[in-house]
Amino acid sequence: MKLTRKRRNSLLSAAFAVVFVMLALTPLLPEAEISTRLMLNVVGIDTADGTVRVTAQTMNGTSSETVHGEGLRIGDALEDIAVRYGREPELGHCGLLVFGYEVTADDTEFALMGLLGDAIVNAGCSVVCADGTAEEFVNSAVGLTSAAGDSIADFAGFADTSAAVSVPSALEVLQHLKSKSATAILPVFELAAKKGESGEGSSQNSGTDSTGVQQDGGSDKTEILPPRRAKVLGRETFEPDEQAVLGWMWISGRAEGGLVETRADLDGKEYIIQGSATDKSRGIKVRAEDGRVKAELKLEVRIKFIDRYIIIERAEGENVLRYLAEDLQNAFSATFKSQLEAFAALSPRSDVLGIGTLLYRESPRAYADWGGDMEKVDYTFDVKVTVF
Amino acid sequence: MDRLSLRQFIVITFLIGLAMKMFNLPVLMLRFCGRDAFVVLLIEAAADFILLGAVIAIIVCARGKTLFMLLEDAFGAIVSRIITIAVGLFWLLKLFIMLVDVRIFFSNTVFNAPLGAVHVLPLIVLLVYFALKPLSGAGRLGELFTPAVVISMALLGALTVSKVDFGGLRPLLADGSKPVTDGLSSLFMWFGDFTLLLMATGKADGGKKLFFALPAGIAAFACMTLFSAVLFASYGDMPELLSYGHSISNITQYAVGSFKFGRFDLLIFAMWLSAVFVSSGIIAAFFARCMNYVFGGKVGRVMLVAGGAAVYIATMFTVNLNTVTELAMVYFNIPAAVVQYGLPVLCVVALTVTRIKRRKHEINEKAPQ
Repeated sequence: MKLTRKRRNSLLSAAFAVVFVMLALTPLLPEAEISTRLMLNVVGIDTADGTVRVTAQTMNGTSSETVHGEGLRIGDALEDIAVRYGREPELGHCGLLVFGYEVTADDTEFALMGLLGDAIVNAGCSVVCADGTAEEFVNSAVGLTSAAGDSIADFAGFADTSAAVSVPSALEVLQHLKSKSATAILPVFELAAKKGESGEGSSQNSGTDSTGVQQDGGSDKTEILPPRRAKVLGRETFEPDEQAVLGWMWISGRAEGGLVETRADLDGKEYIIQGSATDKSRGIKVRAEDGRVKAELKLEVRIKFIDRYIIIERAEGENVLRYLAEDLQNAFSATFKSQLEAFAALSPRSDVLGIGTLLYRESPRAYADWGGDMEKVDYTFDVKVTVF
Repeated sequence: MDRLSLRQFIVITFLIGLAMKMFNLPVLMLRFCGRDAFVVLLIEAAADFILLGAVIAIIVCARGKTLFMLLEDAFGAIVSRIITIAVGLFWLLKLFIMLVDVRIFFSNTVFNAPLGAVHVLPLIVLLVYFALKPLSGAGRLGELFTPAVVISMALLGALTVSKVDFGGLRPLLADGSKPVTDGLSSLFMWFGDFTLLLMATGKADGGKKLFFALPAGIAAFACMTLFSAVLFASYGDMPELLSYGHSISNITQYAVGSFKFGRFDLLIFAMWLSAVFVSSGIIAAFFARCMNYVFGGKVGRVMLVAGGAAVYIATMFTVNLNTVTELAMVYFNIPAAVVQYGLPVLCVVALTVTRIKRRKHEINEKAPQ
């Protein structure tokens, strides 16, 4: 029987539809490929004596446990995991890389090159530094967050939206380390043992209460603190003080600011004024001049101050209120400026502001003439605060 | 019906402008030229835009003549057949390179292991079948796929662009013009695709309205340039981190948070890949028409099947895919430049010769005996 064109086309369409449906239904087949893999959601990396030690969180449904591997490089450590546990590690869903506190800039760069070069992990996964070894952090945090049914990566993601110290991605960290400035800053996550109640709010620039509280055997509790510390990985590896960290928060692109406070002198009396940073715009401009580099740091912030009616009550009349707003703006400006200055003062140790990168982008010749001498950089700060 | 409507011509222009450039090209350019790859891309885009204008002008001025009729009227049957064979063989080579790019992409981005030649066999069979069909089939497919391609690119762009520090594109020309000239002289195989539209000479409706395809070409290049700029800005300091085949997928993974939500960026890529299918189908169709012109009906179809078989056999013996890519930059760039940029020039010459011949004929007819 000779098929008509219409009939032939109908049969062809039906055949394609059947093939498509069969292909689309393949996820319903037994999870052969997934079951042979070890899904790693968080990877902790420590280096000691030329060896890389990996501690990773693996989740299967709601259960969560840690696995370990060692090797000369990160790839060798992951292969070690495959040998030990009989399953190939899969890092496609890895949301967090935790580096131990002692890891250097070179080790971090090397590990990230190994992970991103072979597309082992997603370039967008978060990178943090642990207060101690990554192994301790991951081991403790696994038990902590699995009680909440989350992975540590989920917590880090939450902290990023609300903490003072922003959590960079793997790609961002590597970009900074490979740039002319060769400096990256990682937030430090710490675990703290707390007695008594949980959920204490922190003071300045935390933006959130601590979460992920686990009740241990007695009355001690362990919690993961939202990061308020940072670690600089550059020419030198060090931890800046709190004021410098706050300065970094203001000049970095990601963190918004959260709660801020300053001391203001109103009518001869000192008050601690708290506010919430609502909008922030910032920038750094560099130019070469007479063999030196001029760096201008600009910051504009809008602050909504808390306890506004208590303050207003203390003011008398509208004129005083206007001067009051001016006083508050000046107070906040001075505070933020001193924080920026504290951060900029770290530059001779490592190019935390990215001056080298910015100058190179502006003019490679000027960059070459400058030679990377951070002592030859002059800073100006333009800080504008609007209080409402 | 072996014709393209105006709308079909425009959408095919858009798809051709994108297709071959989405796999390895951004990574190739970055590794070869560094950040100056952005300058190379802009120059090549400008050159291809001029090429597109020339191709459309040829189609409009041909007044219903096909490409082969144009060449034969100008240069004679023998020369035109020689030219056509050379052009046809080049398109076969380009199809092979395109399939290598596809294999590299799937091997490095989608699958865990390198894609074998047998995976490409159904695609080759489909392309041979596609090449036997009239142009309107390609046009209709283009009309069906283009909305999906546009939506997928808009989505990827919206999710990706806001997270990128485009300052990373600078500094340009930090090492002088050498990286730019090296790039321009090595990447012809991945540009010049608009020459494929010459297949529609004498078969496209719309007349001068065909010039509306110019904005489609601009749109395609704008998308390509944007996504490539994202890659150049992000990996400008570490091009060694990228392998062929990672290309834009690295950035899109990073931007859309695929480790949280799953690889839905691959679904978006799948829609984008339809542009590759249409483009490679048109390459196969151009080859088929070249063979049909040179050898005639039945033998032409046999040559098409033989061409498909040759591509498959070459694919089977291609073990090191990256080597093929590098060969395309070193040995195949001259044929690519000659065919893709030379054929439109030849067509312009053919049009001029034909016009002169026609004028002479008219003058001779009018001259008193």
